[in-house]
Amino acid sequence: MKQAAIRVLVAILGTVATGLLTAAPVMACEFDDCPSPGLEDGATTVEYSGTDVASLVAGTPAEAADYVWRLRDLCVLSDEREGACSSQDFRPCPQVPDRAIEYLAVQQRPVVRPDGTAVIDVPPGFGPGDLLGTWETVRQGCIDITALNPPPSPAEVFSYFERLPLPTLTTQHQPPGDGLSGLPVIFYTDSPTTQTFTVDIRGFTVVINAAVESYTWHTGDPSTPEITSTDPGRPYPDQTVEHGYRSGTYTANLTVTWGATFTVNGSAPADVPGTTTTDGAPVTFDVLQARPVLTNPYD
Amino acid sequence: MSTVPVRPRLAPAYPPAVRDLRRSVAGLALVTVLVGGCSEKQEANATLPSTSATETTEALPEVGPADFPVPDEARTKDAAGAEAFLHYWIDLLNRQRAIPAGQPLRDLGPDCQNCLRIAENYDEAAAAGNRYEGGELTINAVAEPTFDGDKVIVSFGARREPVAIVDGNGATIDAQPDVAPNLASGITLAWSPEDQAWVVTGFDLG
Repeated sequence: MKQAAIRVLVAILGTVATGLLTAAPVMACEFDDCPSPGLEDGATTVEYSGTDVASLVAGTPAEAADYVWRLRDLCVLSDEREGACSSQDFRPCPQVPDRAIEYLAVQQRPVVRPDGTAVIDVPPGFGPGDLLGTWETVRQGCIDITALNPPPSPAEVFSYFERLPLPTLTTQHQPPGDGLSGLPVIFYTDSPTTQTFTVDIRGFTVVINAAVESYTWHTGDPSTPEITSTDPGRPYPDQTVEHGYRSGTYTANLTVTWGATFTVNGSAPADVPGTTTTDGAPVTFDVLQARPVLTNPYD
Repeated sequence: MSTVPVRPRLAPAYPPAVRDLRRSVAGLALVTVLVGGCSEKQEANATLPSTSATETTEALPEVGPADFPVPDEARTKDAAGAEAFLHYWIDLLNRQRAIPAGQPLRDLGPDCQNCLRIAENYDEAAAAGNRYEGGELTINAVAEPTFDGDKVIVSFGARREPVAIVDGNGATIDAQPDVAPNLASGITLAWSPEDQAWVVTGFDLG
């Protein structure tokens, strides 16, 4: 029986938005009996076991001695049952700075005590530490597992990601100054659209690579209040975002949606489960009505 | 029809007498088997089993695969029934792994996490055209069943032979090449009054 908490790290492929997640092969066990999982590289801790877990979740010292305990991610349980897990397996827990809180199922299984006895009958030939009976889920919920020193969970990283000083993107427009009705106004931004942050989360070095996923251009024109693009636009003559205005005064600005990936102590990158937005400074311009006037250049 | 016959017969984890009983579908056939297998000189029973006995057997709703049903001995709500069911369950695992097909495991353990995982494995192997070679389970020792209301927990030690998953060309995809001589295992059963049978709610090998 392992004395230290085992952290099983697996990479979860896909995103919650797709509705179904598939566990990476590292967690698959294709046989009737599965070896004890080892420490793997990845992004999500899906199981904790060992005496540290018993200390954390067992109600009494007697329960800690009579059973072995483990904490399992609901996604793993669903994946075992059905080959996939759904968004319902990802239940949010309140994120407290410097605390690791995750929604987990608490499971226990009888074990032979050092004196050879147990809470249930022991088969002939079994000795202290041998497992008995089957794993039973005794409860599930948000559990503060900071004491197990788990690597930051995606949800925990997301709580940091939301508070990062992501840049606000400046809206550029052409023609500079006033626009002309009948001549579309071109929008683009030349501000940086990626940013890397290195943060310390409970002693783990977490590198968050943020990148803009989408651009929402607020035109200031009630007839077409927003234009959405996946690129930052370009200046004339390669423009990709433009809008035709009637004459008037308008205030436009740019909201960008940031996504990110992260690594923990140099692990394989994983998606941060969520996005955040920043609003760029507004720009105000006039759109003038051009009117043809015949003039004599020789006057 | 099962495809099991194309593969070598597996060593049963269930006592032969009980297995034979399971295969008997009528009182006359049962008498034939028992009388035919008797080594001691005895007078053959010239009478068929009593009508009442036959009706009692047939009154139980069938549980398990049609050609591999749960035997009557494994359908009593007592320690002997629970242990008999454990032996049947191990036989069923060996049978379904050899096919492979997982549905009978789901039917008998619809809320059993590990049963569903194993069933999923068997079905995925079948869908991919793969098969299991080896992996037979035999029971080394069984503890006295521990009852808790309508639930019973049975701990046991199991031997698992080396096992491999091979594809249609015979190439090994994954394997557990070493024998596991005594996996500390357990099964948790719940009694179903409707079916008069045990349902697996938990199962762990090792």
